Amino acid sequence: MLTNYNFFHKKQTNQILLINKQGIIIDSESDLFIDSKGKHLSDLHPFFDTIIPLLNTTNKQYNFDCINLTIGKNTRTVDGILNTEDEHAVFVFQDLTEQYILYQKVAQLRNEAEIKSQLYYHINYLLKEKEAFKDDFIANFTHAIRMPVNTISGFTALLEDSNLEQSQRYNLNIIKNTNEKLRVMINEILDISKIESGHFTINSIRYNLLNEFDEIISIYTKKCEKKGLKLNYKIDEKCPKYVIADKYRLAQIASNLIGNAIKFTEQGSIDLNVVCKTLTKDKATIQFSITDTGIGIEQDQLEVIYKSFYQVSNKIRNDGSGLGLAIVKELVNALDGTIEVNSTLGEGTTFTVTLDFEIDKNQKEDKHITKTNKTTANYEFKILLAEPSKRDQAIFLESVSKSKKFDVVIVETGDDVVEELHKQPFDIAIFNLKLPTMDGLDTARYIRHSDFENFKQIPIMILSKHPSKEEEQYCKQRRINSYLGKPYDKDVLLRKIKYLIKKKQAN
Amino acid sequence: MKISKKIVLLGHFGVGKSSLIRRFVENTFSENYKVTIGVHIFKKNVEIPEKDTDVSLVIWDLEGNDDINNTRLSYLIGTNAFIYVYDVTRPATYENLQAEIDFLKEKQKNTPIKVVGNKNDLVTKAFLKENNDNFGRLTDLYVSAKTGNQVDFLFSKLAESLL
Repeated sequence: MLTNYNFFHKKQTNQILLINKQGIIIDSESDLFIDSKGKHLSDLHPFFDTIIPLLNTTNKQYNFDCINLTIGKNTRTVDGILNTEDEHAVFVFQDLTEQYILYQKVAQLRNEAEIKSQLYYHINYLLKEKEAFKDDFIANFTHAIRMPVNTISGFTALLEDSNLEQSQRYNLNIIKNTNEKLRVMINEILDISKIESGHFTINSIRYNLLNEFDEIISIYTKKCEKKGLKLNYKIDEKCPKYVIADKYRLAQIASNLIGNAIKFTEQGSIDLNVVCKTLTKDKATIQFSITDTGIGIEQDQLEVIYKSFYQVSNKIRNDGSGLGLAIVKELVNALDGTIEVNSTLGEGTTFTVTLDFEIDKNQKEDKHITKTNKTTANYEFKILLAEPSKRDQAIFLESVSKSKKFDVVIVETGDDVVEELHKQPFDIAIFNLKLPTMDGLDTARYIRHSDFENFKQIPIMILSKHPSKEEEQYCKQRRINSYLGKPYDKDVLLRKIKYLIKKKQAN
Repeated sequence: MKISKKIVLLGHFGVGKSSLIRRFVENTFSENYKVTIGVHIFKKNVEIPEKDTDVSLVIWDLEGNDDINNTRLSYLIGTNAFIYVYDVTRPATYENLQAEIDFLKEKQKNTPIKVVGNKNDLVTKAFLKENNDNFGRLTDLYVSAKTGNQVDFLFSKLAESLL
């Protein structure tokens, strides 16, 4: 009876090979290796290649567990026992494929789980390595990237001061504007990289908060006007004047938001509303909101607008980097503030930023020069300055601010001069000799030959970077009232301005 | 002239022993990990023209193990060379490298051992340099079964060295 069971259960699972010392199979039981009798062991499977030398031993037993043998198209997993005797050897195999398959499945699950947990170390390392690379990149390339851009700016400025034809000046202006956009984008990319890599630092200084908002407004008023938009500005009287905070970051946040509002608004207005939410002896919570009447943002997009490289709309021309709002969000977070956005598609958007400011104990007025503008003081005379160089604009403002009598409107091109003169009356117009689009002399000629009585007689002064007697003579011939070389003496400038205005009033 | 040499690949599970052999024997690679149970045996001839010899490499792909002491010793009988494989991305596979190599040296005196760091496609050169003290000193070659980097070189140089 047992023989029957033995036959049924073991026939297909066992293989016995009788082998001579040369590795020839003398006899074979079962059919794991079909028709193996008479064959050499090495013909059956590579496994036997390394077994053959063992056949030369006598009265030894070797156990080989869990050997995977591919025979034909099937792979069987067997345990084998080799017994060597004087004349021959006997190799007995037991086919345990089914058992080993079960074992394999368990091991698969266990190993996969363990490998996964071990890989966390490496993933963490890779992230750190990536961060380190980014840090190195920022450290090493910030300067390298900015340098060529600044060089282009420098040489563009030099070219601007040279004798260029109108078309050349036009092309140069494109280079200048494109380079400026590139500079802004590079700065934004470096900013976001610095913030994300933790290289961002907050530099708190004492400054006049009200002046800061005034300055931001004065910058963007012109941009709004160019686009036919109105920029409304309201600041809560309760806001402290002098605060200790990161002045540059506040300007960066507000500028980005107002700039965005202008970009996505084609008609209507931009409102900047500054409110003091809470006020204690040494801390003020200030909320400023920027509301536009622009294209608005779809509700499902509100959650993703702060992601890097996000672009609000593909429908309008948008040449920014898509980093502006991401930077704003990161800056607000870094300053422990909050930012909210509400928007209605087609009606407009409001960004609300809330920040805490340390109030400076000394709230007394600083005696320093501030840029004059029409919103902050009552002035006696109005100057129209056409000066493309920011540095020279600053020098001019510093020079005239001494007298506290002048309201200066600054433009950068000849075309802008004409536009401003049509908008409002001025007491004097002062032009850099070289101006984009239409240079100082061409602008003066346009004014003198215009039919507009309110400005055709306006006193004109020309500022020249490379003064010469010939140039001065040439200017006089073209009814330029005054000529001054750079760098000029501040007192000489003031004296000349006052003289020209007085002369005009006398007429 | 034709010579047969037995090469045994050892190391922790999941380090890519089977993948290295598949890359060498079949020139294929699969991202899917399949646990090896026991041992699989492969064969590939390597021609060494300089010595006018064909070496038949009988390559034993052993089941991966956390501890080399658990290796079935009968698998090691008649080994001509070992390739000890670890995974450069998993410290668990190389943190006892010296002890594992010492074990092999003790069990199979005078049998050459090549220590190989697999998956070098997943790390940078800087990473390998940083880990010189962890595994660099003991490593003979960094390879990648995935890209095939240095795999043929590993086996053919080993075959040549066994002549």
